[in-house]
Amino acid sequence: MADRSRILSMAGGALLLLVGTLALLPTPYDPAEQVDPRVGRYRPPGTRLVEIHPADGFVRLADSVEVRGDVLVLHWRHNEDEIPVAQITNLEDGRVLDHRFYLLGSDKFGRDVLSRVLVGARISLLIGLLAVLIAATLGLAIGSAAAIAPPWADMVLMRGVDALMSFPQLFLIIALAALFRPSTSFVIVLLGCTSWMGISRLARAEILSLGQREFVLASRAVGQRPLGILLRHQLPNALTPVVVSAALLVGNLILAEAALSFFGLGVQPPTPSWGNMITEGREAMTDAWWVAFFPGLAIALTVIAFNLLGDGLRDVLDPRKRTVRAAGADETPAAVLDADDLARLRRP
Amino acid sequence: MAGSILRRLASSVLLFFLVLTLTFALVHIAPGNPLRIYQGPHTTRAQMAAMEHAYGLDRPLPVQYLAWLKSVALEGNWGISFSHQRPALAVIRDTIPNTVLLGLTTLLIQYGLGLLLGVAAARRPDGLVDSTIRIASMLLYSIPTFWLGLMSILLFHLQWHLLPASGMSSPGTSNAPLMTRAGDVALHLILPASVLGISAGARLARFVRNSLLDALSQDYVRTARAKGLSEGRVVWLHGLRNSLVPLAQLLGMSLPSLLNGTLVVEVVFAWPGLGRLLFDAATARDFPLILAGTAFGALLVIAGSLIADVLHRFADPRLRHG
Repeated sequence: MADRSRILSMAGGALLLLVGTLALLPTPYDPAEQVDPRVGRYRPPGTRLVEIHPADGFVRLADSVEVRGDVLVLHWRHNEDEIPVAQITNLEDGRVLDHRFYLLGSDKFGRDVLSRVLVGARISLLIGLLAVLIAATLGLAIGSAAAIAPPWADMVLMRGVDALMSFPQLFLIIALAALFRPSTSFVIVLLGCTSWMGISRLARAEILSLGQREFVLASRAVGQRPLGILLRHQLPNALTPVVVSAALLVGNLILAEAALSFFGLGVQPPTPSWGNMITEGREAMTDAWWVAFFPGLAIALTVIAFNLLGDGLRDVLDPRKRTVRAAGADETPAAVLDADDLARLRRP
Repeated sequence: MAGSILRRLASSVLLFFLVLTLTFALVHIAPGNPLRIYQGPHTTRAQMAAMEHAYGLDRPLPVQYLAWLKSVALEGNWGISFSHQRPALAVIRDTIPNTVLLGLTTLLIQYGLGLLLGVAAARRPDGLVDSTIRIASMLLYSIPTFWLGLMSILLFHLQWHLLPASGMSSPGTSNAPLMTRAGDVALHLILPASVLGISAGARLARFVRNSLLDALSQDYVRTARAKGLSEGRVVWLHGLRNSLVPLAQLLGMSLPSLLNGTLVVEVVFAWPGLGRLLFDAATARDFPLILAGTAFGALLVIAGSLIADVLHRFADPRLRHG
């Protein structure tokens, strides 16, 4: 069991490392570059085009070329163009030296889908990681505040959390995203500020239960102040489950960002994000499925990586499987729910 | 029993009031004038001011809040939607049955699939079937719903012409006999509900497995096995019956995510529900409709979890008699 979890979490980590590395590597082509869109647009994956460099600087593409006398004939789709051989800079012995290879196809502007998916990875990972940082900080702060606050303040805080949690998160996010002007940094803050509630509940429950443990009681008995006990003993020990649920939350946040950008309320074009690439691909799905397909695949892979990692981490870090009593469980003695299962069920 | 339900009802009302307050606060923090959609190039400042006055937007926020709360709570008046020019409540009321229909169908698929996969996985923990289901369900729930929706439109609608993929009825069927119309709606329901139900069911399967394994490790299951009951009876009747209690509780808690899901699917499949309405209202900065839409989303969640909670109390004998 533990071995299997270790393998899964290692697989997740490896996948994540792969995604991260791919995101940081230079892209094969400039993701914004539109080379000869008439010829290059909506090319299926694996297309290889001839890239002609005339002296005037406007790069031309063609399916194939042939030298006919002193002109180079460019065949593209069902058209033919002619360029005088003398004007072409990358022609040698009747052969054009450069090619353009669309491994994952091209979009409606003739941009390379692979390059755009890779650049999209940077945006998605950045948003997911920064937003989870905000959510974990807020969650820990509010959760521990509730745990050490007087009962009435605890109740007010937790009822507020309940109220926030009864909003379908996406309803709240979409309302807000539409009310403010969307930008990348706004999306980060928005996602972080609307997803800390689960972590705050978890942190509060954890800190409260740690409060009954001997080492905390002992610190209290020797006269340490509550805040000191919280910072030195309770918070560090509550971090493990928080880290695990944060890892699972990154996956959720990346999904939420993608949905938001897909709706046109998140990352705005021309900045490529996986969500807005899918929107762009949506209009040409019958003719060019690859434009919408590959960004979705990239999202799925990244989210799988975080889920594997979080799942594995939970089993590895805590073999006893931490469980918390779910909301209202004080009335239902038997109902013990797994905190991370709940966190996952709450995803948008 | 009645007392505890009453207490639960009271806390739901309190929750709804908090939800209203939060919605109002959030929307009014937002920058920008909601009346800007009425502003043409020749609109004068005085006209804008008159319009603000007509809508009461020039009063102090606390006054606006109290007035709004009073008209909402006492008169059921949620204001006039800017973009529909009809009462926001009426606009929303039209969409709620559609969202509930989509949500219930999704739940049916989700729980059907989740129970089947969960039970299959719990038969032999960490066996081949369990591992396969674990990985497969993780793959499924990591796929973005909107993308799964688009791909299903691509295959089942555009490529194979099997199913309709937009709206909830075909054009020209509004005067057809009831059964024809119902069949037409059912046909339109298949794709959106399946997309949502399958990915939610994949998530549920893991939970069913854990909760069933928990139940199967109890003494009464050993007794059932010892008296020679078939494995099927043990799992489905004794084990599952007892793991239904946390499942009923889970139902209430997973409602927000269900509504999130319906919002996405409604936008992708042009299903005329609450989520799509809110999405359109948000793009049009239709303040009354955004307020009412978000509040009704939360209201649906609160009402749903209240129902789930009452069901749970009836399902659990300890609570029924306790």
